[in-house]
Amino acid sequence: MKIDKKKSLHYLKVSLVLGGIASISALLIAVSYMICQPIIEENEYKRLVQSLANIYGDDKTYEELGSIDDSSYSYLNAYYSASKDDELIGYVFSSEGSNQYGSISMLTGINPNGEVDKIYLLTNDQTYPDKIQNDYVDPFNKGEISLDDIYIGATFGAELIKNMANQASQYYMENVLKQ
Amino acid sequence: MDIFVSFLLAIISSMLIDNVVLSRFYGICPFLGVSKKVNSAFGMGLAVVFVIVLSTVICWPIYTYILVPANVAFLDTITYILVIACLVQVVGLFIKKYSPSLYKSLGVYLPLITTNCAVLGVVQSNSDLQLDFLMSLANALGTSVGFLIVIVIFSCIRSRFESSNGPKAFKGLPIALMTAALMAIAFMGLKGMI
Amino acid sequence: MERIKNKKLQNLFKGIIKENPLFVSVLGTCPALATTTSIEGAIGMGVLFSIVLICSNILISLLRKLISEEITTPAYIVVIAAFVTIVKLFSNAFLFELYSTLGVFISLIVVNCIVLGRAEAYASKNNVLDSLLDAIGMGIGYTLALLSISCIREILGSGMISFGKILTFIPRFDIPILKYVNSVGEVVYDYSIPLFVQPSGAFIVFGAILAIISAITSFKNSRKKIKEKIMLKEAK
Repeated sequence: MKIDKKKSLHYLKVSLVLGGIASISALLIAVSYMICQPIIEENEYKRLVQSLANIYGDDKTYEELGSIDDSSYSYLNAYYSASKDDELIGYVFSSEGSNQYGSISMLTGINPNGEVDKIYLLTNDQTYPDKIQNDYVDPFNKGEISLDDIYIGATFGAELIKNMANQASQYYMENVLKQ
Repeated sequence: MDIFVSFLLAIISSMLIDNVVLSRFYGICPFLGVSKKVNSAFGMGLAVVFVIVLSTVICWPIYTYILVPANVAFLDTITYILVIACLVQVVGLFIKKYSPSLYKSLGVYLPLITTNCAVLGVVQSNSDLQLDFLMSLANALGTSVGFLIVIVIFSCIRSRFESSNGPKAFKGLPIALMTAALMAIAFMGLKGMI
Repeated sequence: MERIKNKKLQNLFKGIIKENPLFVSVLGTCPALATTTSIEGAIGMGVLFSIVLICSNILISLLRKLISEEITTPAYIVVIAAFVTIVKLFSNAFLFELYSTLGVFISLIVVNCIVLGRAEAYASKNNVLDSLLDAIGMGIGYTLALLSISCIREILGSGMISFGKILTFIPRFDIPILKYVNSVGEVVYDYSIPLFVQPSGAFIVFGAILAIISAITSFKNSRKKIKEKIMLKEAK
């Protein structure tokens, strides 16, 4: 009986110490989270607006029109309008998709006719990011190749970009143009 | 069919093309430390395969269904390391009770796997790249089998060095690192295949 | 007073040369090979590592009387993981380029053998001041080791030392050594060896440095032995 009490006291002390350590750590983490999280979100928003300017230039005003939660348009996140002096230049769709090599998040510029104008990659975790940028995205933006010329040696990444851009265009034709 | 093909391609790509040790640098400490004999290297590799696959299967649902909806995705590191440490202890006890011979051959490496960068690295990169369950599983399988292949090859080469003559300054670790460099160049030739 | 001060200084400096964690006891090699493709990445990684090491050493040394034998492992893991999470949050907020360059390797400080090893071997047995000095010494030693590897890799591999790409509070400029790109964008001369920024280059540089250190150590040992032999002969 005496041994049991000593052992249970020992276990109680051990669990108290562990609990104390866990609560100290949780307190420190919570304090730093409260300090850092607003800054992280603000930086993300600033980077988003700065990158939206890559599609149509930074002399346009960009306005968020809405977020897209439709599961049949699984890549798309939100869309924005780009206008200069109250004249509508085009629309920008932000989308995110992934395949077995990683995820890509990008912006697609759609002109008022529904055609894909420009593509800008925000993050590219694929295995050949430079190849995708130099051999697919840059020539497409200059107008030298079309969206279907995906056989550049990093085929899966290029195909993912093509699918995301086409989905943005499709969403525009079916939902926005009809309004 | 499409899913199956992409699953297989993902396994091959993380096993050979973007190899975990020679290209992504995850499991170097045990790679240099345990690979003096082929038997111990093989045992270590098998234990790593087991632990990585099991921890991915447990950690992915925890991340997707508990951490993300509760908006505390930044606690993923702590959760993963605690899960891995518990898993390694439990697996060790299990093996010790049900198969003492297996415990004798690979049980001594199980505590070492807790501090293996490959385990935490794979699980953390699964959640950083935001892969779905099938791709995470493919990543885990490919990574661990790639680790097994590379550590067995390396130990075969290294066990020859123990009994050969070379410059005295290079004995031991430096010549092993040069061998690893040559292996890395060899595996680099596989890039661009997929 | 003089002897105590000397001992503490020795404690601090032993982590830099005599017991350098990366080159002497070969620990913590995973980040050493992966983050040293650029000098700025190496400095960033070394500083973040030192912060985690110092904080965890202090906290574990404060709590060393309370932590009993059975719960050392989970207790150390929780403390170290907490500090790594804090460092991750702060670097995500204030040093975003460093955070996205180092990626997974900031999280991998948790399983770094040096941090766990120092906690178990030193901080659990000595008081706060000694643990703090030990941590500072180890941190400086690790950072210097990373810096030496990355200097060689960046100068030989990409030809120029670039500042301001990753640590964005430094103004952006390049020092051209083996490769010079003028302001128009055309390459004037390029003698760099790109192998050294690939993974195989990391292995080569690390192996070469270890070989040099082992050669220097054995040379010193042989000189010591010769001196002892001479002294023994003279004593006869």
